[in-house]
Amino acid sequence: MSELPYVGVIGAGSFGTVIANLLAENRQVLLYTRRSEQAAVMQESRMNAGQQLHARIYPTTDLADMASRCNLLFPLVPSQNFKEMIRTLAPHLRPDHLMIHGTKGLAIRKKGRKMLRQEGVLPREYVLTMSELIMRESVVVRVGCLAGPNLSKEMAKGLPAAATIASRFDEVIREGQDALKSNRFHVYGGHDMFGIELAGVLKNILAIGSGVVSGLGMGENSRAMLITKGLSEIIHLAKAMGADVRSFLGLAGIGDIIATCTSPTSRNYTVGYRLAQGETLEAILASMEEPAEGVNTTRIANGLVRYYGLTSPIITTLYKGLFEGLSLPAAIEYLLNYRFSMDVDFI
Amino acid sequence: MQEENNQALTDLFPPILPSLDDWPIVKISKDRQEIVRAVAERTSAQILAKNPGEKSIQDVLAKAVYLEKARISSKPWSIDPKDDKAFWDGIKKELVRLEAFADNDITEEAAVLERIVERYAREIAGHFDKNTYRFANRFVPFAFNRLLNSTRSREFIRLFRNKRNLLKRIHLVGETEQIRSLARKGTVIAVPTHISNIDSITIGWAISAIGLPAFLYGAGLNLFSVRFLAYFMKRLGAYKVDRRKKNSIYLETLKTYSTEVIERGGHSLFFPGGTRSRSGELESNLKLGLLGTALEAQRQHIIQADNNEFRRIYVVPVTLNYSFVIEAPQLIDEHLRQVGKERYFIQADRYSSSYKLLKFIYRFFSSSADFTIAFGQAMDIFGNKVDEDGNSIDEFGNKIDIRDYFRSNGVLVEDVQRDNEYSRMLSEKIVQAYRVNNVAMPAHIVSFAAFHIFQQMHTTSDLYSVLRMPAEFRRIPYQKLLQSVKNLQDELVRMSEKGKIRIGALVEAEPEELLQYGLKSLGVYHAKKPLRKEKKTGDIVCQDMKTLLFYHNRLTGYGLEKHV
Repeated sequence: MSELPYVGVIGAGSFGTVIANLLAENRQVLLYTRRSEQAAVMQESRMNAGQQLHARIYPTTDLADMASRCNLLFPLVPSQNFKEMIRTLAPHLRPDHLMIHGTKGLAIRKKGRKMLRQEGVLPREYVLTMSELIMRESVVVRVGCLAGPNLSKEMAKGLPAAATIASRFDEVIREGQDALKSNRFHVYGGHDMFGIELAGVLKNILAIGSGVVSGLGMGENSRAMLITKGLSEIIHLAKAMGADVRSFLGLAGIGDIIATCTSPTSRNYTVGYRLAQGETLEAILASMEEPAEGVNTTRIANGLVRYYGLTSPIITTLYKGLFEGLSLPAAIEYLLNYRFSMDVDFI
Repeated sequence: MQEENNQALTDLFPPILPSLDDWPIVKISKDRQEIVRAVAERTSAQILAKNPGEKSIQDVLAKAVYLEKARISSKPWSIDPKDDKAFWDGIKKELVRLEAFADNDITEEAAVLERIVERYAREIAGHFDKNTYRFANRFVPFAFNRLLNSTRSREFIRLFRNKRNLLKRIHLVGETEQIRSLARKGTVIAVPTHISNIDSITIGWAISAIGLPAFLYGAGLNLFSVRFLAYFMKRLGAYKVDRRKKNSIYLETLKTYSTEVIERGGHSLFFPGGTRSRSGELESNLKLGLLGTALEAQRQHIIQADNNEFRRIYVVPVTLNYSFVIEAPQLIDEHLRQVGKERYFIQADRYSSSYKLLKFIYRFFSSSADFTIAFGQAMDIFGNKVDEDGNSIDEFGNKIDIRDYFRSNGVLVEDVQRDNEYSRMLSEKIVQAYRVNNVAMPAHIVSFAAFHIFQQMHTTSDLYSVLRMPAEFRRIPYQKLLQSVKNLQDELVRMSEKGKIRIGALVEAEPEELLQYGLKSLGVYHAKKPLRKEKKTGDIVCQDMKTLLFYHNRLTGYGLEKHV
């Protein structure tokens, strides 16, 4: 057992714990949390985020040690903590490290934050995907991302699922697949990392919208319309950002949309649902243990949409509903009266 | 005059290797036979490894035979060897025999392959002749000097006296000291932008001007058909690249040759854009093949050093800019045809005789055109910065052990897909370097401003209709253009302070002076001058929108539009 190589999982949230448990079937796993109390509790109770920890999972708070023992690392921390994490880790990283992240969010550079606050417009050059952030802040180049319909709660129960590892490097895909292979988790590979990252990130906007539809009790036809037209909007946005949009038809796109837009266990869906029920965004976010990436993503997407001059009524309306106090029934009415142009014009 | 000039040059940038006998290129030339053998063996082995099995290697050979026979019948050149047809007929006959007797043994196929590869390697490999070099080295600055008129040559000399002086016509800027220092420590690969046939001469001169030994350079075989040029190229270390030969055996041989000479410490020069920029824009997509050979050479150095100190390879992006590109009208025409897909366009070989070529060179140097050569910061083969000692460093100044790039789980592992990805990453870094080392010259600024004003005058954004604008509308009031130039100038100065672009001389002068100079130097010798000041009205009129677009394009992609 001790001959198995070590891999590192950074971020002991519910998804981090799921992935650590999967990895532990093939590897010894260092599971990093920045909170030493959490590490101690994990070690003591062998439980985390409501899940039993595999015997080959070793909780740690030492990134330097993790970097020296593991060639393969899975950063799975929320996008808002990602930069701090990678900066702490960077001095210990080498060009032969492999990093596969699973964060469905975007980062904004400092100047972009200011522009977004002041003008509501966000130029592409100030937005970073997590892989871009890794390459910018460290010497690591063998980067990949893990995306797909992976609701943590289902996977924690051991239900089957599938995902895609996307990387420009075959080695990253291969190593990731080897480490994650399991009879309850099927891992596909792909080279279009940027497209797959964007698909995984942008679909959260639709999940919020879908939650709103449920919260207002508008029925499945409305949901189908929202998802389909919303998909067209996020595809147009991704295209403008230079992505190969075919990935939106894969697991990270359609696959993840079906899972998150219909499941009450999705955090982003829940945000939309509770919002429609009349709660305020602050109250909802304050009550959640882990952040709903879709909220911030909607803000960023809206800034990008304005930067590119795209027509994206669903993104814009959701943005107004989340941040500008537009009442949701009014928003829905607006959307229902919106004269959409062509149905399918993006393939 | 000429002696004085050379003297001044030597004071500023003394040759880093005073004796030609110490030059890598001289040694490589001496070892030509050995290199041809080594390249042939390596290439054969690589091709056999990539195509295991009798059938598969026969397919490779058959494809090469087919393509070569097609080339011989459809695109014969006078410089092709006389026995070309006979050689390939022979190979074909041999191959037919081999295909008839499948014996699961590849000995005979391997022998045929080696014959082909060796023939190619011999064709590609270049010579270097010290006397020719000495002559050319004296001739070129002399020509530069003479061809520029007398007042110009005084300015030209000043260039060598005082680096910081206003280098009015030839600007040699950038990290010259770093390159000189790195060329002593490791192997330098210069990767210039490519916009004119004159580039080879410009960069060759610049390399010698900053005291570096001659670089190896892959020159298109078509240039060797110009007898005057062939004389020099054959003797100055140029190796031959035949773009007609697209078969995998040839391409593999060419790459191996490049790898081999880089491994032997031969400083090399590639134009990674492949061909001249048709649109006038900076290159944004590079060819990865030859960049890959530099990476492979670095990998070999690391493997052979076996955990000891290894020789390093440095990549130096060079941006070349001219206020006058003789071929501009043809280049932009080709670009517009390609983009507009009006029809398939076959490029004519315009400089096929010595006379035409000499006329071309003469016109360029006698045109009092400005040109700038900007050496960018050197990087390692992965695009990382390097410190004074030539070590790779990351963005934060920490040292990087580049051996790690070739390692998996701590072991050096060959991974072709990974290496290709590294070459792509390097190409992106080179493209970025081109952008920050691009030199905004007065001629470019003025054409950028003017073309953009024309575009704004037009209600549609369709480029082709802007280009077809009737002559009577193609005029701009002087003051309007001046204001735009001033705005651009302000923005460019700001950008240059942030290191986003370089600015040429005069860009910090009074706007009026900049505009005047830009108008004067822009495309001086074109039959139709892109911009001209009309005497009667003082308006600036455009005589050739397409050529104006060409010069304008050098500054696109910086978001300057909103500052016009």
